[in-house]
Amino acid sequence: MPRKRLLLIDDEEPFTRLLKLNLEESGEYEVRVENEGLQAVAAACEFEPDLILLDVIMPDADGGEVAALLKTHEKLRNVPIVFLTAAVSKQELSGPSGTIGGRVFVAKPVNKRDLVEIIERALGAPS
Amino acid sequence: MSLLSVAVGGAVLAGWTIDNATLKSLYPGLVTMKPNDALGLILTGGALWLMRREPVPRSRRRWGIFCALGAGLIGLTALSEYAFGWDLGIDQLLFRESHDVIWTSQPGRMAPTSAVNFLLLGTALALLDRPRRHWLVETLTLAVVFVSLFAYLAHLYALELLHGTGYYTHMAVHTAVAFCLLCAGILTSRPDRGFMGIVASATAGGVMARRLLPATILAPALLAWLGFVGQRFGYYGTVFGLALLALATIIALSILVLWSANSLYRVDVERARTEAALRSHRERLQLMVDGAKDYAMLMLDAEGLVQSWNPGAERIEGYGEEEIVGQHFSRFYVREDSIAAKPRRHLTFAAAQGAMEDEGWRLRKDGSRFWANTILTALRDEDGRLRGFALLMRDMTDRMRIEEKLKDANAELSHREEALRTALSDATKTQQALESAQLQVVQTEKMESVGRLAAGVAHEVKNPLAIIQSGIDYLGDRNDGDPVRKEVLNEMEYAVTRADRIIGGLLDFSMPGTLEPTYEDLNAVIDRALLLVKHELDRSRISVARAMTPDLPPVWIDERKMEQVFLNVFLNAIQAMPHGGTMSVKTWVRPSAETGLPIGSRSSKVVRHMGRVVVTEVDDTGTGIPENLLRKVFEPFFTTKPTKKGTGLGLTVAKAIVEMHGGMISLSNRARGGVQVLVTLRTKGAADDASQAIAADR
Repeated sequence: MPRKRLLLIDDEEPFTRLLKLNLEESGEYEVRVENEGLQAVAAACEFEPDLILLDVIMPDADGGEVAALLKTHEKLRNVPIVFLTAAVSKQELSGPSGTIGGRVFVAKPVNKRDLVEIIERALGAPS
Repeated sequence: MSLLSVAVGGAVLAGWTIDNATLKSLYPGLVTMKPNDALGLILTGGALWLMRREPVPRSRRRWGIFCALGAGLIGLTALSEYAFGWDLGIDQLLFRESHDVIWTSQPGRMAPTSAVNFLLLGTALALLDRPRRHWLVETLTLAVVFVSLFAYLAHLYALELLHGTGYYTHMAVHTAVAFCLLCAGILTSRPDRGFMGIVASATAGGVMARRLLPATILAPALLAWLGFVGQRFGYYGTVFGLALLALATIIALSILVLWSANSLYRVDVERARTEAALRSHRERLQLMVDGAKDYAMLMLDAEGLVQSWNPGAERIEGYGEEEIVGQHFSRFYVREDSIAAKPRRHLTFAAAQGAMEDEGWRLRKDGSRFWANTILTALRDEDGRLRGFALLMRDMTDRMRIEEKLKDANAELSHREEALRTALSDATKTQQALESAQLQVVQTEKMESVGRLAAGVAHEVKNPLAIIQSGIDYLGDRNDGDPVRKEVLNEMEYAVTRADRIIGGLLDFSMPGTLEPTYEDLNAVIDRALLLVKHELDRSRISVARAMTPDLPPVWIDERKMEQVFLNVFLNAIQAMPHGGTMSVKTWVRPSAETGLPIGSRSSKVVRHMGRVVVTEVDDTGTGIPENLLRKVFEPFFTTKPTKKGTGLGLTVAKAIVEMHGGMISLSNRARGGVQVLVTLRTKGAADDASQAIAADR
């Protein structure tokens, strides 16, 4: 069974490094990391991920703008995006994740168990 | 004296009754007192006794006059017998007298002098109670005195010449004495009238009369008797005796005159001195009266007519002395007072009470008014008779106006003081409002900065937390089964969760957001919150005592936010019991009228609702909160927990959320230790009212 490809876009390098290690540990995911928001679109076009984990607040670009750019590409249009961010709290989301304005948010910090569950749910659901 | 006279008359009648010569003539060989004399003496003595003192009652006067007229009639009858040679049969009516008695013309007939005396005395006594005829009474009485004295002296000198020819009967000695006593009685019975008034007075005339009269009467009688005795014993002849009598009389009278002159001189000198002092006093008084320009000083007679007038009165009233003296003082009164008879009432009052004081408007000659203080004093003579009034009047117009101005100024001052007080009160209120607003601004600014800080902190802290969490996951995946390592990783994960929750609380506090309320079962919300703190409860060995009322009416709440409220309350209770204890959670329903819940946002007005409310009570068995800090527990960043244990925001956030729901949260120390928190929320019906109220408020 081919590994599911996840594109992780976040400016926090230590976080992306550790998360990549954790997600790839099981062998079910291939994770590509991109630490700059504006370069992430090109990387996504090249990588063609099954799901994108996108930070909201980054130095060079806003998560929302990046998501809008990603949706402009035909092959990326249907790729689910999960916003992984420190800008929302679990209280706001009523749990580790939640939907705001039709978009899925995950509040940092999140443990691996919860994150995998969210990823699987997002991959299973039509985008 | 009157009774003595009656007694003499009575004794003589007794003498006649028992034929006792001593009682009839005192001494054998002397003329007897006739029965009619005795009767006359009893009548006159009786009349005097009845009218002896003023005022004489009518019945007494009637009987007195009757007796007096009786005595007068006896005298008149005897006189008519002498005058016309009649014998009316009255002489021997009571007792019979023999014809051989001495010095008696007709047996039993009184002497003509006695008859005259009874006529005069009877008349005098009949007139005794008529003050206007008193001069006549005195004249008649004195005449009786002189007639009686003549009879007495005749006896004394025993001169045949004086005893008459034998045709007329002579007056007995005791008759003469009794007449004199009666006269003295009559004269002294009215000592304040006629010449007795002068004799009895303390004046120089009175003193002189009292001194000279006895001497004038006694001296010539005594000297004449001595001369008569000398002649009878043949010491000297008649001519020498007369010369001696004249000389002795001259000497005696001269001594009397010189003595009296000396007394009069001294009295006169004393009087002159007193008059000089009086004059000086009067002059000083006049100077004072004339000099008192501010006072009108007037003398009024008893009727209120002006008698005297001073320059002060002229200055105040405007009248000259010549135009006002003799005028009635009522012309000083204003018309309305005159119509009200005030002048007359003032005189009457002053006469009755001695003085009266009044303040009121008075009139000047030119018709202008002035405000006067008037003192009216009644003046009376030594006998208490009203002589007139002293009127003292002062123009008080200026003072009255000043007082009025003062009164106005006082009123104005009071008014201003009141205004100042009001202004001060307003200023205080404004200041309080300002302080409150300032506090609000500070609080708002604090909250805004907290909000900015919280947002920054959330982002900056959560990313490192996410790294740590990923690190924990990484290490957990590679654990070789070492239980210690597993425990360490668990602790680390718990620390991350706690830090994340604190940050979440900060965000909630700074950005409470908006409510998304639905009808919820509060018991379920509380249970979910309990589940969230289960780990902490177990760690601190705290047991939970649930006493929830089943089937609570639904409450209109944002369940997530309300869960946060209970979470914060529970965490607070847990942290208050680090060494274990019991946390009890109870819910029940009660009428909302008891609570007076504020509704809507934090600053909304208080509205009372008749619906029901659900109350949640959370008790702990911790140490409680010092009373002086209780009111601060809902303030931001207030905490009694050790550093790093609490954010100081938990209860602040809880209060903000509860108030947004129109509910109430309160915290107090329990009597048995620990803290009690009460959260009161509306039930369905009450919440609808609250929503309407909120909508209306907007």
